[in-house]
Amino acid sequence: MLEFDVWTIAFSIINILVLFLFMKKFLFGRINAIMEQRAKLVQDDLDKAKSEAEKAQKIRTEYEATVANAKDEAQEIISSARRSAEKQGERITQKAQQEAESIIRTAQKEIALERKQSIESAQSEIADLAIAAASKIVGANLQSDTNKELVDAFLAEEGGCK
Amino acid sequence: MGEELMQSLENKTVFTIPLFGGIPIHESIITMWIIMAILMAVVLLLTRNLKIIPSKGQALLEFGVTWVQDFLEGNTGKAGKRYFSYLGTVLIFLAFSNFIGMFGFGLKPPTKDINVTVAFALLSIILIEVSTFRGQGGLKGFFKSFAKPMPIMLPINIMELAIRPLSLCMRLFGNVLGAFVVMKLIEHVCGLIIPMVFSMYFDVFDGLIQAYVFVFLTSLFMSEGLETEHQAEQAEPA
Repeated sequence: MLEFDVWTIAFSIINILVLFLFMKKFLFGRINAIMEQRAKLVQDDLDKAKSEAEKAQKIRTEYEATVANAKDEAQEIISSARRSAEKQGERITQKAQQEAESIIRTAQKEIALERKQSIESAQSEIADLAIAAASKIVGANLQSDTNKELVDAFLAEEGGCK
Repeated sequence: MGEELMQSLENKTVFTIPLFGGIPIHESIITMWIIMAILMAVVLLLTRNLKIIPSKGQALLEFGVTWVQDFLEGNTGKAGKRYFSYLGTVLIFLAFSNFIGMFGFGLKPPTKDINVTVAFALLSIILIEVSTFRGQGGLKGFFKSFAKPMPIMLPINIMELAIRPLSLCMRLFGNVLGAFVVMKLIEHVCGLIIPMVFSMYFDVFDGLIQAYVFVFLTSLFMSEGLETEHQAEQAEPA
């Protein structure tokens, strides 16, 4: 029961070492390798997700800045268009006003001229009529040129009074 | 009955290799080979194609290996990491060796043979001293470790070189032999069912406990030798 045997001890040691080497390679080695591989994979995935999120955040800020920029630009374009439209409208109105004024002025001039002409013609006719009437009334054939001057002077006096 | 018992307690020589004047091969060595063959086959089968996304069996295997490594790390700390596969192998080997008798087929636990437990204890003490040598950083630290925690402990520490493996091998051998004898007696008294119940205690429970204790003590002794590394590690981040 308690007899020691060097050979059995030696064989036992060899057995233990053989099993140890086997287990180290095939059990612990393989299991630890696969677990490390998995840990690495998970870590890689986490890192990747983190960098992707960072990238997305960056793109988002960029996009937001672009949108804000575009808004500002649009605002500017609209306001400048409005300003130029207003300016143009003002100019058109001014021009129209000027034109209208000039048309009115010519019309007035024409009216005045016509009026003068008609007055003049009426004056001469009236003078003729007056002479004819006067000659009839006087019944004498007056020197027509002299009489005419007379009437003209009278009429001119009358017209001047008016 | 006594004679029968004594016969089953004997370490029978199964055959002799006709070299160097005859090398006797004990029954325990044959049983060890059988256990090794079974363990190797099972391990090869289980670790045949491991995947990143584990199957149920692989998850269970990984859980077991992680449990063993966590248990060892709890004793030796991270410094003992490189010895984990040896200690783990010893744990598995001893656990199977201790309760192999339960399965019948005329197999007896190889740890019932004191020569086998001597082999385990010898390897343990070599491992303890090697890890101390490495942990203390060379020959000087190794010799200094004998004067710890105070120089007056020097003779006790030197005696421990012999006491530790002796206690390891005798504890294992005594427990397994005792369980074996008790089981033989119970089987002699009543051959049916009742031995199964007792076998659960004496073979399975006690066997696993003894394997656990053996590895636990070995790693605990190792942790003493690795201690300075621990303290250095703990001191660094603080």
